[in-house]
Amino acid sequence: MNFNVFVALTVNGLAMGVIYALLAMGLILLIRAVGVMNFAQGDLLMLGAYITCWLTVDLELPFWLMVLVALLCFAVVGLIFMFSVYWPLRNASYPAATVIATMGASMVLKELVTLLWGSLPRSMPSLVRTEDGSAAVLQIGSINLQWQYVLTILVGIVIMALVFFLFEKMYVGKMMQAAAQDAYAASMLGIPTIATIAVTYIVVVIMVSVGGYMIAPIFMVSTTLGSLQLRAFAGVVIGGFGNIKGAIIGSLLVGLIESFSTLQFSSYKDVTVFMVLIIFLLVRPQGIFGERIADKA
Amino acid sequence: MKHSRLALMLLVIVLALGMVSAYAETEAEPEFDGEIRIGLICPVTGTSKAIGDYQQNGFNLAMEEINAAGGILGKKIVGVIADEVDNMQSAVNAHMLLLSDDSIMGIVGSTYSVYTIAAIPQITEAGVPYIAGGSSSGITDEGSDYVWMVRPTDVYQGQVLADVAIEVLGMQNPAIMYSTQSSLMALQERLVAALQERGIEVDPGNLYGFPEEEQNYAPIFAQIQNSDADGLICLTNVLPASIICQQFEIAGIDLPHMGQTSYSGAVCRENAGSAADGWYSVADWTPEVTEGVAKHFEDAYRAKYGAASDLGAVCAYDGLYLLKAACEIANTTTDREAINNALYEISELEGAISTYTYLGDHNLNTSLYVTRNEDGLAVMIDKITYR
Repeated sequence: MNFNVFVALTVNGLAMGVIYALLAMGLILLIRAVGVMNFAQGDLLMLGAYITCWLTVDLELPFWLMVLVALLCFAVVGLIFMFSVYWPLRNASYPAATVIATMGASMVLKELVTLLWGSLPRSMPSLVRTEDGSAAVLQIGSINLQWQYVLTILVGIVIMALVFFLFEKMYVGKMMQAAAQDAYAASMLGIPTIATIAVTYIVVVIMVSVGGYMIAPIFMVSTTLGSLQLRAFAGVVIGGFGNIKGAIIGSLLVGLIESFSTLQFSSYKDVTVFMVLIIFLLVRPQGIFGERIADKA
Repeated sequence: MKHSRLALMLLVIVLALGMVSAYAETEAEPEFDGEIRIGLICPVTGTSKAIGDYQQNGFNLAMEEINAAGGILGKKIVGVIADEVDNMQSAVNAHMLLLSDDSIMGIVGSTYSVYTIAAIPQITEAGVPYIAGGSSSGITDEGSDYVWMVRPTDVYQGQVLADVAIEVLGMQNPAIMYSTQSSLMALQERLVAALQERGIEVDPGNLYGFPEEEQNYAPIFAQIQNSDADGLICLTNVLPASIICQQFEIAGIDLPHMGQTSYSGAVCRENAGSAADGWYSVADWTPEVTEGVAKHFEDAYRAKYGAASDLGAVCAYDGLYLLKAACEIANTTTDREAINNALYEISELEGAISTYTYLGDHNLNTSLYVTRNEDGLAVMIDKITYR
């Protein structure tokens, strides 16, 4: 493997890892807030890509207006998702009801975008383009890197830092964590549980939707974007279930494994990722940053 | 006053009756002596819906044309559609749904070879003539008496792909990207064998397989760009084809490039936009045809649907016409066995994709197109009659 290939695969792996990390962080936040594993996470990313494609390509909004309208749309989607998929079932006697509801939501979202925007994949222009409109390439010496991948890494890092800051450092984040850990006690202290859950859903949908927007120019906009969440699940388990830092590291690792596995096993790229997952489950089931339940006790 | 109201009412009634009779005249259908039910298996929902839309369009166009001309032996065709969605389980269910219906006299099948191959035991047991839209030689290898093909098998595609790669694009050391779906893996093996027959050993390091749902081809392009490959041949279905075209353009690889039929398809060209330009294709079908039944089909398709056709549409169109021809040869619309036996007698039947002839196997196709995408169109360079 020459150096150019190494750098290209590293950048690609990190960019994909960042997307998986956004999905994985969202998963962890929802598990922490409401205790639900969201199987529609990838489909929310897909919906975000469709919404931004609609605003950019169909409505041709200027960038700043597109960002504002898109954020508003993502927030509304977050609220609708929460009040339709989680809220009615939160007290269901069958505890898995909310998880199954997210599986149903996954199908509904796929069919919804097909109804709204058709079944054909849609093209999105790259964020950085040359004069003739094609995707710009960052050239460092003899290495060609697609700007879209570089931007994806940068935007992903900024979003993850903001979310980390919100939940770990700000008072409102601590309120949300308190509500998640003990909703009854939090409400006794005057913390509005419904508001904290709603904010969590909004933050999660914004995170994954921005991820969808960033990869749409590379992957095109189609319902198959939803399948990315499988790798995010792998990242969550490898990093340590329930640990945000672990989810990020695990997801980046998944992205890199996936990228470098194409060197020898391009046909078995997914197999390689999930083999690593199985090895982790066998050797270190608590993940990289997870704690053994026995240790906690 | 009363008289004028009465006159006005009479006038309205006369006008209404006139409109009804005029409508009846324009919508007049030939007199039919019953129905013949023909099934269509395609994705109506799910991620492959776009392909299913084309299949339904082609099927409906053929059905309308045939019914307008008096149907099949005086029987009106009624289409029965089963949804294969985008997965094996649903596809098998769709096949079982139609195969269990005794009133269905023939089926225009899936464009996905794997779905057809999975259902072949049931098709054979039910004894229903089935026109497959797939191209895998695995379909004919199963040896069913009831499954027929309108597209060239991968055996022939592999040979023509090798010829075009070497003779038209001058490749001596091509990289090959292929979907690991069974039919496309089989095509890749046929292509490698055909290249070997022509004196080109493909370096195993230049073979890049990937799962059908793959979307990130950048790692593979990075390796091709830094390899000694002198050309690229891609073998994928239509949806990955458009993404590959786009990512190939973004990667800025300066190598001659070609694909199989997916790369000349409307789905690929429309989605990939200008990124699809320059791609050569060994194609089962191109909408930019200039003569015969193919041109008639394309003109009729564009007039009815306002857009160019795609492979799924023309497969369904030809499939229904093949069943019609078989019914007419057998002189029956109720005897499946006789209809199926009549398909062995098909000879020099001009269809849109090819001129169909039974040549000892159940693949009735005899030709392939060579195309190059230019300004969003799959321009026909050559039509090769390979047998």
